[in-house]
Order: sequence, then C-alpha cells, then structure tokens
Amino acid sequence: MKFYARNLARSVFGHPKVNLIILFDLILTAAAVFVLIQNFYFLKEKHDEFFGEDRVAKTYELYVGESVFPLTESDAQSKSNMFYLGLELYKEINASPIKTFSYTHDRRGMRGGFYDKATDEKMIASGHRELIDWYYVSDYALEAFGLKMSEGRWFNNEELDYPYLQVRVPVIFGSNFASAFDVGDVIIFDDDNYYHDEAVVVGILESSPGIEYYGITQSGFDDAVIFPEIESFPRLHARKGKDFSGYADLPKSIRRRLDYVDRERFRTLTTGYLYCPDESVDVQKLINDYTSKYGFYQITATPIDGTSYSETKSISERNLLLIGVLAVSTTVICMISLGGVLYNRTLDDRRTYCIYMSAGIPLWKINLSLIMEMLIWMVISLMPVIALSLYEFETLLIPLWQIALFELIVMSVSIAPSLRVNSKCNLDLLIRNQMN
Amino acid sequence: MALIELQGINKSFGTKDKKVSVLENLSLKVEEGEMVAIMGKSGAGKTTLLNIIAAIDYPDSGTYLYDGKEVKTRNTSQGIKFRKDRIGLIVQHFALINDFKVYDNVELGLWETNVKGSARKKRVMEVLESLGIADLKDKYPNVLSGGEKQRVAIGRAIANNHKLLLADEPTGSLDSDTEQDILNILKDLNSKGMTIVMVTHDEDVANVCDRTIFLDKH
Repeated sequence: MKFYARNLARSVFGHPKVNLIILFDLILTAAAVFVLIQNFYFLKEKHDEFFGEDRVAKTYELYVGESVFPLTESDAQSKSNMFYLGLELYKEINASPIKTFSYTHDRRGMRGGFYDKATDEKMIASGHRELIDWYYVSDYALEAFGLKMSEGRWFNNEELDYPYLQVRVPVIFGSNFASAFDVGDVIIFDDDNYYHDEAVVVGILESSPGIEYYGITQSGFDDAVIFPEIESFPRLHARKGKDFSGYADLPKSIRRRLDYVDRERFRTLTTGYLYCPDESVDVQKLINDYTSKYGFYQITATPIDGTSYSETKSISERNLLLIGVLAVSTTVICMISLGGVLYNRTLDDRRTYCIYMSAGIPLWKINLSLIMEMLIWMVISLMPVIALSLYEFETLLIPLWQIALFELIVMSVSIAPSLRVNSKCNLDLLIRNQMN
Repeated sequence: MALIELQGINKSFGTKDKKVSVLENLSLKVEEGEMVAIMGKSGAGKTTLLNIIAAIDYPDSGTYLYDGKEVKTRNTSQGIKFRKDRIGLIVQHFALINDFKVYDNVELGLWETNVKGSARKKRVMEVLESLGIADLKDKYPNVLSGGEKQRVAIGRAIANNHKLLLADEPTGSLDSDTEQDILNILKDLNSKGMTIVMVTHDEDVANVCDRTIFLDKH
C-alpha cells in the first residue's frame, strides 16, 4: 500500500501541467458525452413520441382536395384526357412497391341479401340470423387486410378486372360460414339494383382479426360475404348464352360497366386506400414522385394501421445517428489526445519506474498504480458534470454509469500505449545512464 | 561455496548477420564476502556482465549459479523477483527519485519486503545513520551533493540486507575526496559480510577491492 500511496501522490503532484491537461481532457470528454447523450435522449424521446411507439403502417387512406385535384368525377364520366392520365398514374403507382386498392363495406340483414331458400337455410344452419358483413373489394385487398384462405382461392385477376364477364359472380365467405358452404356451391343473392343473381363460392377465409382503422379494429371478415368491387351486377340474362371475344363484341351496357372498372381504379387514387408491405418505403414521398411528373402533389396518404415511414422520421433517425457519431467522434478525439499526453508523461516517468523495478517493485504494481491514478482523475472529472446537471436540472438527467462507461472506455484505450511503453522499461539503460 | 559462479557465459548483441560478441566463454567465481572489481576497456562487457549477474540481462549460453542455484530468469518480471531479496544495485548516476525525500528513497528498498511499520522506520534510520545522512532525511535529492546522493543510493541498495551489492561505477561522478568516502562505506559494508561486485575504470577504486577481474575487448 505504501507504494501505491507514495507513487500516486508523486504522480498526481509531480506533473501539475500535464495532469491539468489530462483532467481538462477528461472533463471535456465527460461534458461532451453528457451533452451529447442528453441530447440523444431528448431527441430519442421526441422521435419515439412521433414515430417509435407504433408499428410502421402498411395501409394508408388516400385523400385528395377536390378543389385542386385535376382528376374529377366528370373526367371519369366523360373519359377526358385527364381520365386517361389518371389511369396511367394508377398503373405507374401500382407497378411500384405501393398498391392502391378500395373496398366498400356495409352490414346487411341476412334475408336482405340471399334470395333462395336453400341459401337461406344454410345461413341459418351456420348460425347466422342477424347481420352479415358485405364487402366489395378491388385488387390487393387480400394482402392489405392480411387475409388467408382456408379453402379454395382468392379472386383471380380476370374476376377482379371483369366481374361482369363471369358466368357467375365469384364470392368468398368468411370463416363462420365454413360449416355451411363449400367451394363450388352456387347461391342466388340479391343486390341493391338487381335480384336473383347467381354467385359461385370460390373460397373460404381463415378467421382473421379484421381491419385496423386508426388504431381501432373494425369490420371483421369472419361473418363476411366478399364480392369483387363492382357498382352493381347486371342481370344474368344480359350475358347468358353469349360468347364474347373482345371489348367491341360486348353489348353497350356491358361496355359501360367495364368502363366503370377503370373509373373505380381511378377513384382509388382519390378516395381509396393504399397498401405498402415494405416498411422502409416513404409512401408519401413515392406518391409525390409520381404525381409531380404530372404537375400536382395533392394526393395525401394517411397511415391507418401504424405510423408512416416519412422523410421526417428518416431525418430524425439521421439526427439520432449524427449525435451518436458525434459522441463517438468526441470520444475518439479525447482518446487520442489523452493517450498522447499520457504516453509522453509515461516516457518521462520511465526512469522512476526503472528505479522502482531495480528496488524489486513488480511492473504490474506500477501499471496498476497508473490505472488507479486515471480512475481518480476520472472521478474528479465527473464532478463538474454532475454539479452542472444538478444545478441546472436538480437531477441527473442521464444515468451516471453511462458517462462513466464512456470515460472508462476512453481511459482504457488511452492508457494502453502507456502500459505498452512501461512493459519495455529497460534497467540496462538506467544503469548505463542512457535513460532520458 | 561461491556466491556467484559463472560458467562458460557467452553474450552477443546485434542481428544474426551482424553479431557483436561481448562476452565469450566467460567463467568466474565470486566467493561470499569478497569485494571484487571488474575492469576493462569500454565495450569489453563490464556492464553486460553486471547485468547478467543482476538478472537484468540473460546470457546466450552458459550457466549462472547464485548461491549454488542456477539462475534461469528470462524476463523482466523474473529478474525483479530474483533481485528483490538477493541483490542491491548502485549505479553511477545514483538513480534517485527526485520527487521523494531522502528517507523515502531509502525506504523504497523495503516497500516490497515484509519489514513493515516501526521496524521499517527503524531500519531506514539505522541505514541513514550508518551512512551519516540521517540529518538529510527530509531533504530532496536535488539539493544534495554527489556524495550525499550516492550515500542515499547505497542506503536504498543495502536497506534490505542483501547478500550481494552490485555497483556500476559507484564513484564515477564524484570528486576524489567524496570517492574515498564512498569507498570507505563500501569497504565497511564488505567488512560486515556483504559481497560487493563493482565495475570501475579507476585503478584506485579497484585497489580497494580484494580482487580485480579484467575483461578483454573482443
């Protein structure tokens, strides 16, 4: 103990100028790290407040200000140039990682939907006597709603694109109907405008939690009857027994309805939804990139099942990273500075260390003494930071161990060259008076 | 029995291609209680020999026996351990710690021993008094004369009552009067049973010793 006490006293008071630099360096490290960590916490708190708590959204609601959006319903009706431009935009957007889709939903009394007695009886057999969820969905709804098929299949592209051309309208049932219906069953249902239309069951869903809408789960699919999105179904006799080979062969009434599909697609841009499975995509920025080519920016994507991965979030994350990098840079600079000062001091002290060794004091004790001294400087250097924090905020805003850990890292790395040079203490040079 | 016995010691320095042989097939014995001077021209290997005896350096080949036991130290830690209880060391330029008072510089020789507390203090004072520097105990080395500094260095080297005292040019930095004082001290220590091996250029110093070993330059 005598050695440690005497050597520490010698070391602390024997190099006043160098030790002041060491102390200043450590205080600077502690202060810089304190300020940076504190700002990191502040920033992170804000970041988490805005972006951190929620999941990154996969589903967005699209909105457009009617007064400024150049694509209007009249464009759709009149099939103006703007209508085709809108369709181009739809194609471009849907060729990207984001997909627009739309759906409509309402709840209907069971007998308001199914006309035939057999279907009615099956509905009763499956336990449904009250309201049923009716959905009309467009492309990508399966992915967007996270639905999975337990039997059969989802609507294919032709069914989604040209539901009017199908001999029977395809329908998919929710999981609660699984016991009553099988894939391939034909049912007769009533629509708002047409009656007694035939539908064929193409699939049955697995049970699913439903659609999340601004944090609230709504509209489950377990009691759902799902059709491709169409305005209304034409009477079966309108197409029964006819063999259509192309658009031009279609009766005018059917062609009008096919146009309606395009209008619906067009509308998904203005009042529909958007699905983006890739959480790293800045959805709003991507939409802006596409719409800006046509000279407008007014399509707004609002996340409905989480938060958006926006440029603001990205900037916020970059700021966090920047502060982290600054903290590390400061630490590295302090390491280099402290290491250099300490190294030179150790070179000056080597003669003393050799004398110690000639008197039988082992090298590890000399090194341990150096480490103890640095720990003392570290503790002293933390005092101003603690005092400042207590004075300013009446509390330690960040855990003391975090600053201490940073300082320990700085100290450990800084001291390494000194320990290395100590290991090369050469008593022969001391004897030959060739030291210093 | 010889306190130090070297048999066929070889030591060279430099790289494989450019080796300079300093000691070649050196054999010597130093009996316990002897006072031996090692002389030779510069580069003859005097200090190298002293370093080997002190386990500061190691021979390339040959055998070193201390008190009948072979010394096999090969690194700094082993050397420190070997010297701690066996050898006191004095160098030409005193090797004192200027931040320590005279008392502390002498006590330093006892820090790694089992001599603690009042026994340590008593021993330090005994040494200081035997060397005639008790009144300087609270002074720092930088205010001492050369002779006083060397006495302090001797004090540190003998504080632990080692059997062997190694001295490299112990009077090399001193004037002739002071040199004689230091030699008297060394002679006195030798008369009390301490074995002394010293390296010197000075024939007058060597004449004080029981025996002189001359090293030839290779």
